[in-house]
Amino acid sequence: MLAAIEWDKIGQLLWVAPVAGLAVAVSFAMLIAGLARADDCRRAGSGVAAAAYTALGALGGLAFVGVFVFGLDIIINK
Amino acid sequence: MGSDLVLYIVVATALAFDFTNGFHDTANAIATSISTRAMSPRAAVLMSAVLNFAGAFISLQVAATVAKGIVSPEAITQTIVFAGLIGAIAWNLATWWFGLPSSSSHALIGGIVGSTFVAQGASAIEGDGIVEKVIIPALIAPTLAFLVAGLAILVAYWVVGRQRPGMVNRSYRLGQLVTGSMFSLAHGTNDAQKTMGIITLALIAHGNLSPDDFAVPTWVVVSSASAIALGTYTGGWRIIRTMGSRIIKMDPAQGFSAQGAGAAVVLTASHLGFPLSTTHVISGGIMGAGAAKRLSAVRWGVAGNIALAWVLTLPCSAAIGGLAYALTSLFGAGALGVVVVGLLVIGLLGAAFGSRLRRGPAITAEA
Repeated sequence: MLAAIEWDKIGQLLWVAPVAGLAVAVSFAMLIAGLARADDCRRAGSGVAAAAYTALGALGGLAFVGVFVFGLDIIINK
Repeated sequence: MGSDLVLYIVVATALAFDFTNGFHDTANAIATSISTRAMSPRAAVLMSAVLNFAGAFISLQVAATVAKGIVSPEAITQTIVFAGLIGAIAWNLATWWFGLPSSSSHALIGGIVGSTFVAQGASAIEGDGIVEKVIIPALIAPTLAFLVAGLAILVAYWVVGRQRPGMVNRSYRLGQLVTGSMFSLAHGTNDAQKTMGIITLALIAHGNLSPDDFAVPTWVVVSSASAIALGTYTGGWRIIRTMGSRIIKMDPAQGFSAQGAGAAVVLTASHLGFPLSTTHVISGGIMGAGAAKRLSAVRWGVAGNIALAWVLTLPCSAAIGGLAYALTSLFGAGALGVVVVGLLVIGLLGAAFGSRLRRGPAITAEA
């Protein structure tokens, strides 16, 4: 009975799913934190730091969009 | 004439199952969004219904495979499918009544296993398939989602913990629109296929389609998409309340983490060809997002009731499916048994829900 179970797929799932879940969490948290800190720095008059945090937020946003598009691709082409 | 009538009844029953599948699983995609006020209840069910409808058109890989590998294909008859659908519908309605999220796919598999068992005996049941397609996924889905959502919320709190709560909450509510939409679309592509598969099987068995070369008729796609969307729009508010506020009281970051981690687990599994129940995944995700913050934040009594419903899904829907088949066969091999059982089920539903309607809804969109 155990031979019928696709252990390789389960093994892959057990490491790929946490990576994908963390990618969603980290990218969106980076987007929020980057934009929030950039806003704080702008108010404090620190232009360079604001630009750096904006870039961090943009990177997080791009990663989140990338994960979203990849998810859509799975849904459409499965 | 008799077989035409059976075909019409099987198609109608499959669409009724699709409807219950929709309203039973509405909670999977939107309960957390409603709970964290990311969306109003009506907007959330409308969004989910539209995306379920759209999702049904995206993939037309016929899921004639819902029972493949679980019962012998040559054992399946229209009456077995009808009785299996009755078992699945009854279990969906019973769990909805008690506000318990459970897998509609497992209920359908259980119903068909039960009716096949009564019709053809134990030799027609493939135990390996039940272990592989029901038991192992039912263990993996909630456990994996629990862990991933727990990790996700810890990371989220660590990264955004020092930011202004107002902005963080607004952002996570916006993020939930995205993750909720993904869940709804994925649900439409997965679950409407089951009904399309059943109706297509019935058409093949009846001789309307060739088993060797067929395309799913457009009316089957449109009617299946419409039934699941209508069911979703109706909204299974009892289950939405359980998932949205009775397991944990969640903040927007927890709602996003549960949904985001859940979507990641469901889509990864789908990508690997190892489909998991969206109900099991999102329930595990919600518990994980709560437990990572504080173990006592999870109402473990409610979680235990949900787990019990999962354990009972297969045997109970099998028992009802088997009973429905036995009742049907009392009236011989013709259409009479299917008609009588169909009318009996409609009568029982009318009696149960008619009295509820006269008393007014127990739970509303605003509850």
